[in-house]
Amino acid sequence: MDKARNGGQTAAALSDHELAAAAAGGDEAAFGELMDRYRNPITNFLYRFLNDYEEAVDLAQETFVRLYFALDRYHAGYAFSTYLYRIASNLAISELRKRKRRRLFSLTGLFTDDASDTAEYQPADGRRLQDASFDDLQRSAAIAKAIATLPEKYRVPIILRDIEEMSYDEISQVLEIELGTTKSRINRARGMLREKLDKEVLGLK
Amino acid sequence: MTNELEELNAEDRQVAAMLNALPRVDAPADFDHKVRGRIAARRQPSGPGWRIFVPAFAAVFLVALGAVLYLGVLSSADVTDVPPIAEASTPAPVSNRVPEPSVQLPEPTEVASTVNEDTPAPNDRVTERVASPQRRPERRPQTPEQISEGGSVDRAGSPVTSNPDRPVNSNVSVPDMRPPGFEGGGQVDSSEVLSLMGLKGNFQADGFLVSNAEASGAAARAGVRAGDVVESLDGKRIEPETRFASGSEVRTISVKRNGESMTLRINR
Repeated sequence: MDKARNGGQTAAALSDHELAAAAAGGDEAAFGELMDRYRNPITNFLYRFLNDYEEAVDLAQETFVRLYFALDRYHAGYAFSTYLYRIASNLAISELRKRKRRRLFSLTGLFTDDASDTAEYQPADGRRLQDASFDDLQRSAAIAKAIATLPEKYRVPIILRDIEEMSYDEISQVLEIELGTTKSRINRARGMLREKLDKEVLGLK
Repeated sequence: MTNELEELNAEDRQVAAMLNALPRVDAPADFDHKVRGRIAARRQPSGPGWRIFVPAFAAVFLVALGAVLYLGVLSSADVTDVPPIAEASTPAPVSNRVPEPSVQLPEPTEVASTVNEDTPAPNDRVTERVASPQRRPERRPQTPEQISEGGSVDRAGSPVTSNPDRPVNSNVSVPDMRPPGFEGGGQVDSSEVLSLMGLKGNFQADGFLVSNAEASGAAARAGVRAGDVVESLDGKRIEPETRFASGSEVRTISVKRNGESMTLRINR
C-alpha cells in the first residue's frame, strides 16, 4: 500500500485510513478525497436528522472542519466513517439542543418553529425528485416529519441504520453504546415511526 | 445487511424500506470550497489572544464612548444651553441698553467669586451688588444704593475717567442672560458682550472683525470702528468660547487697526 501511494497512484484507490493518515501529514489532496467520499452521506444524514437542508450543509461543513483539526488525534482503531459520523451526530445533537433552548426563549418560535422545522426541503435542482409523483413527495415529507419528531437517541440510530445503511456494529461504535442497546433503540424507533405513520402514510398503500 | 433485514417482521421491514426509499440530498457544489475557507479562517487567528483581545477592545471602546458621551452631555449643558437663550434675547437688551443709564444686571451670590477671579478689573460693585441679587435692571437707577455704588467705583480708583456731563451713559457690563428660574451659569459668551457694546461682525482667527459699530454703542464712543479687529476686552482674549462673568464691567477694549494694536478706554 505504501508503495502504491508513493508510486503516485490516485488517491481514489487508497483506503480511508490511508487518506486520513496522509491528510494528517498535511496532504490536502487526501483530505479532498475524504470529502469527496463523505460529503454527500454526511449531508444526507444531517438533513434527515435536522430536516433542514441549510443547517445540514452548515453542520456537514463543520464536521469536516472538526475532522481536519482532529486528524492527528485520529487513530485507525475503528472505521473512519464511524469517526466521521460520530463528529456529525454530536454536532447535530448539540444543534438540536440549541434549537430547543432558542424555542424556550423565543415567543414567536412557539408559533413558527414547528412549521419551519418540519417543512420538507425541496432541492433546488430537484433532479432526484423530478419523476416522483405528488403523492410520493407528500409521503416523503410525512416520513421526514415523523423522523424529525423522534427523540434524538432513537433518531440517530434509525437514520444510520435504515437511511445510511450502516451495520449495527458500526452504529454501536458511532454512538458508543452496546450492540444490544443499539438494536433495541432501532426497533423502538421503527415502532414509533410505524405508529406515527400508520394512518396517513401506510394507509395510502 | 440484507440478512439483518430478514430478521424483521413485515411491518418493520416496511418502515425500513420506506426510510431507505427517501430521496437523498447531496452536498452543494461549493461544499469543499467553504470547508477549506472555514479551515483557513480558523487557522489564521491562531492562539487565544485573538479571542481575548477582541472583546477586551470592544469593552474598552464602549467605556471610552460612554465617558465621552457623559462628558459631552455635561459640557453641552454648559455651552449649548446658554447661547440660544442669549441669542433669542439679544435684540431686546441692545435696544434697551443704549438709551438706558445703566445696563448692569444683578447676578446671584455664587457668581461673585468667579467674577473676582475671572475679570482682570474687579471692582467694588461686583461684590456689593451681590447683596441684592433679585433686583431688576429697570429699577436700578432709582435705588439709593445705586447712587452710593456709583461713588464707590470712583473711590476704587478706576482708570476710566468718569464724565460728570454724561452721568447716564451706556456703561457696558455683562448681563445676566439667564431666564427666570434658570439656576446655573452666571456667564455669558463674548458675542453677547460685543453685541451689547453695539458691535456687529464675525469671529476670525485673531479676534472679532467689526463690520458695524453702532454709533450710540459704548464701543463706537470709545473709538472702535468698522474694520477693527477686537482682540481683547479688559485684557481677556476674545474668542467665540471666551466667557465673561455676568455683572462684570468692561473698561478697556483692545483692537487691531491696520495691523496696529491699540487699547481704547470705554467712557461711561
